[in-house]
Formats: sequence, C-alpha cells, structure tokens
Amino acid sequence: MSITLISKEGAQFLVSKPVADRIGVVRDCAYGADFWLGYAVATDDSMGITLANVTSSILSKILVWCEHYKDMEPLVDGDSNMEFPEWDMAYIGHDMNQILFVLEAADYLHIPGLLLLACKGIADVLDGRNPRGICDLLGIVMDFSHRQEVDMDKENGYWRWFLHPT
Amino acid sequence: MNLRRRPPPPTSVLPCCSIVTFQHVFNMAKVDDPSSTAATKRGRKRKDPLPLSDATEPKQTIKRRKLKATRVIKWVEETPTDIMLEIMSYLKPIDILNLSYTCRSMRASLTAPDSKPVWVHARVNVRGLPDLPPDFTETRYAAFMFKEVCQMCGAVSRPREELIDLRVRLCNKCMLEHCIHGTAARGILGTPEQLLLLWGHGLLSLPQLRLALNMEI
Repeated sequence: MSITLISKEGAQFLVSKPVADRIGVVRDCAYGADFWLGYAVATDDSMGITLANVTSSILSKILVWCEHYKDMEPLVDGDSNMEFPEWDMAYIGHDMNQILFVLEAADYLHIPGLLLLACKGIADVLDGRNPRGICDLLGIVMDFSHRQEVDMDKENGYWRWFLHPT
Repeated sequence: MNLRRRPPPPTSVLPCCSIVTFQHVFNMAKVDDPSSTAATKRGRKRKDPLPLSDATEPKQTIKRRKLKATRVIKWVEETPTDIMLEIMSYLKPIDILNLSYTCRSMRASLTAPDSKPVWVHARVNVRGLPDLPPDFTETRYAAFMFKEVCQMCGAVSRPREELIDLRVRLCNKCMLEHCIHGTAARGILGTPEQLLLLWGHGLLSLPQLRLALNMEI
C-alpha cells in the first residue's frame, strides 16, 4: 500500500504507509477519514495528496527523515537538556535557510518530531553569536546603533537601578 | 515604494473636473518649467564631484541586496510564538540577551515581565548556575553573569570576584575610578553603618574620596 504525495511544483513522490504515517496531515487525510466516512479516502495509488505549501526539494528532504523514523519513535517532547541522536544532528545540518524551510514545512505538515529537531538546529546555529551575526542570519534589520548598544549595557548595570529605581 | 508603483497620472492633459491634485501640479511643473529642471540639474552637478557619495552608494545597495537574499521568514513578525518559545528553550541566557539586542520589538518582548519563563528555561541550560538572587531581574542577571562588557564604559571586562557583591561588571580602569576598598572606606568614615551611604558616591565627590584615600594610606 502506498500513497502519492504531490509537491508545490507538481512533482510526485510515492511513499509507503509507515513513512506517510509520520506526516500528520497525510495520515489524517488518508486514514483519518475512515473514522468519519467508513472508508479510507486516498489509499489508492491513483489519488494523490497535494501539499500546496511544500516545495519538492524540501519535501524530499523531509521524506528522508520520515524514512529513517518509519520503524522507531522520534523524540516528541521532553526537557530542554535532552540530546538528539547523531544522525538527527547530521541530517539537520547548519544551513540556516534550509533549516527555516524545514521548520516551516514541518509546522505545516504537523510533524512534531521534526519541528523539535529544526528548533534545536536553529538554536545550535544561533549559539554563541553576537547580535550582528544573529541579524545577518535571520534577516532582521538591526535598528540599534552602537551608541544605543552601550546604553543598553549601562541599563543592565545594577548601579543604575540603585540610583534610579524603576 | 507605493508611490512609485502607482501608474503616473497623465501629465499633459488636465482632468476634466476642476479638482487638480497636488501630484498633477507637481508633474506639470516638472515637465513644463525649464527653471525646475535646471535646478535639478544643478543639484546633480553639485553632487557629482564629491567622491564620497559615489563610493558609498553602491556599498549601500549591496548591503540591501544581501539582507533581502538572507531574509527567509520575517522572523519576529511571522514566526508563531510557540515555535519561538521552543527555539528559545534550547538557548543559553547569553544568546537570548544577544537576541534582545537585535531589534526594538525583540528587546521590548524579551525584557517584559511576561517573558520570565523564557529566561528561566535558558538558565536551566547552563549547568551549575546559581539560582536567581532576589535583588536581580532576569535581564540584569544574564548580563552580569555572561556579558563580558564594562557597564560603565563598554570596554571588555573579565569576571572578578570582588565585584560580585556590588552586582556590577567593571573594567580595571572603571573599578579604580568608581570603587574604593572596604577597609580604606572604613578608615575614612569610622563607623561601618555609614558605608551604606557610600553607594553611588553621593556623600563625597570622587576627587575628595581619592584625596582622602591617599592621605589614609
């Protein structure tokens, strides 16, 4: 039994059932309906599920993750000190744009495990960078001048609070 | 940008109704008056010989292009709050502090009292960090512990044991300028109760203090 997924550009991906089960939207679309209708809607090969917001390059990347996790359960939640497996960290990489696209797609497709992994990837990229580096990475337009940064440092000082308690 | 994208109103023919918009008049003046074009030409001529303007303009355009190319998601505006919180739960306090230095909206949201859980999560990520003292706020605590910047002058300052109780980070120069040793202060003031009044050197002016110090030692 397999399901056809159609990406934004119209490329078709044939995936098996355990792989498609990892994608929440597809699972609901294909198998969730039989609860309400009494039969499965899109289990047939001839019917495809169109994922309008996901490009084919990102979808293929996401399917690699789903393929890896078709048998085992991914980390879904836990405390912030939990460590992801090495394969996961190598999979997500350090390319910020790529991770952001994966994050968007995982949010759209309802894949909680991949969403967490993408968040961890972004946090790893942001780790240990100065404000200007963060702005370059995330495309934030920095609206503080150097002078204001020094002022903020002073504002953080305790003595200022002591003199002018707010 | 919006003004540019709008189709320009017809300049040669006035609209049949009597209402003439400001832009119409402006365009008419632009096309018809020789004096105005001459004025603009003069302005350009004046700008041309300056080497600085020619050098800076292409640099600015390159910077803008770079920003547009790297901007994938409008970060602060469009990222859902739960995803934002998830990302921040993996960060350390210094990273969140750096994040709050990026733009105004970020600064406002991260220094607000409602964002306390973010900082609490971040402090958990650093092992062995002492719990938040009751006289600190979260932002000040993060800056005090992790940001190696003098809070008076902005120079680099290494962590010092002596300044822990003062709750401030200072560089060498500023420490010599703004702090005096406790024993010396007691020698000047006599009773230890009066040491509390020393905060912010409200009692004596700095030169007076230093003079007194030299006299004592």
